[in-house]
Amino acid sequence: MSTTELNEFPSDAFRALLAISREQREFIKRFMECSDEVQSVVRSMFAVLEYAYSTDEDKQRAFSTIADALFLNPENGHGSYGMDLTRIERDSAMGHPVESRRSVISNRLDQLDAQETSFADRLSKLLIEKNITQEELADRIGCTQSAISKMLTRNARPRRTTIFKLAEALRVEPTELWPQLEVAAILDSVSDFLADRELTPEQAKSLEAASLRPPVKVKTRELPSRKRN
Amino acid sequence: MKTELDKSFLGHIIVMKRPILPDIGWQMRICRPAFQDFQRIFQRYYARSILNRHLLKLRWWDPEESLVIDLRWNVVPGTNLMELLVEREGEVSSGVRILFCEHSPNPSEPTLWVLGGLRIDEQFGELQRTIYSGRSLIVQERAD
Repeated sequence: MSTTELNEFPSDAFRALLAISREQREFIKRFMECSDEVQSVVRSMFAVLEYAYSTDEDKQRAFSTIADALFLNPENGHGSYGMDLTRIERDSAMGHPVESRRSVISNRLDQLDAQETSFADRLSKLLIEKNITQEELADRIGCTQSAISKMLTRNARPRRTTIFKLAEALRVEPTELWPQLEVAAILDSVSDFLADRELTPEQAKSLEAASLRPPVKVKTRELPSRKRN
Repeated sequence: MKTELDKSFLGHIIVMKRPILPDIGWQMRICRPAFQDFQRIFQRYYARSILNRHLLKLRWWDPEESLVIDLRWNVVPGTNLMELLVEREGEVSSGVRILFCEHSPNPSEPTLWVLGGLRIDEQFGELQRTIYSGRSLIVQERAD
């Protein structure tokens, strides 16, 4: 049967099908190849896209879920679906499309490793100096001994709050554990602020509340030249 | 909207098996849409790398403990999803809510899947649960 004959087929729906683009036909083909469960997910994602109250972020998430369902893109050496989280950091640095960026990213990763090594060394030294066991420290900061052990073996990067808790428990300044603590926080804040195109209502509210809070009293030490006699 | 979503797969009753903490830690895998979520939340590679290091703490996720090393986690009610809260303190931007689930096609390799994430200050309601439950279903269908 030729296309001309098909066009004479007395069905509007069938004629509409012939009029669709190659991409649309490919989309339908891929959708039909999916299992009933995955087709159901794709339909739900379309419902999210069409829902009047979906935010742009929700629509992007739904869209990337549809793309994942219909366009399989297995990674070489990573199995048929998904990626190995332990390898993704180095792999994506090495696979960066801009070759000159690869070494920059790699250096930043080395910097993260160095921060964690330095922290582990400092914490280990302080535990010995102050004769505190991992169990005691864990009790003092409200975590498990296993968590302390993972931090000491560089298997877990501590949160900022955890560094403060550890410093308090060990009666040292937080910068004794993590020297670049303040600098890193300021740089991160500035960078995040610059990256924000627009503040969300929540962020604006939190910024306003922060500006109305009384300033924090910072412990200071008089410089020798200013000491009164 | 509710009816429309319920008709698909959210109407099914999800029975969550109680995972057992493996001795050698969990294998960690991430699905592509999760990677795209993080790229949108953190534009800088450096910030994503730090997030990645926090995510790797899930290797020692113990369903019996309320913390994963120093991060809080919860079960998302009515789903097979779990959320890990990577909070950031003293800064304008909020933390990130990471959605993950357990799916181990090979029982000798207990595996956790990172499904994606959203800012903690974003709404996390039925719509968002639909998206992440959908991703979890794709993982269960596709991962082998």
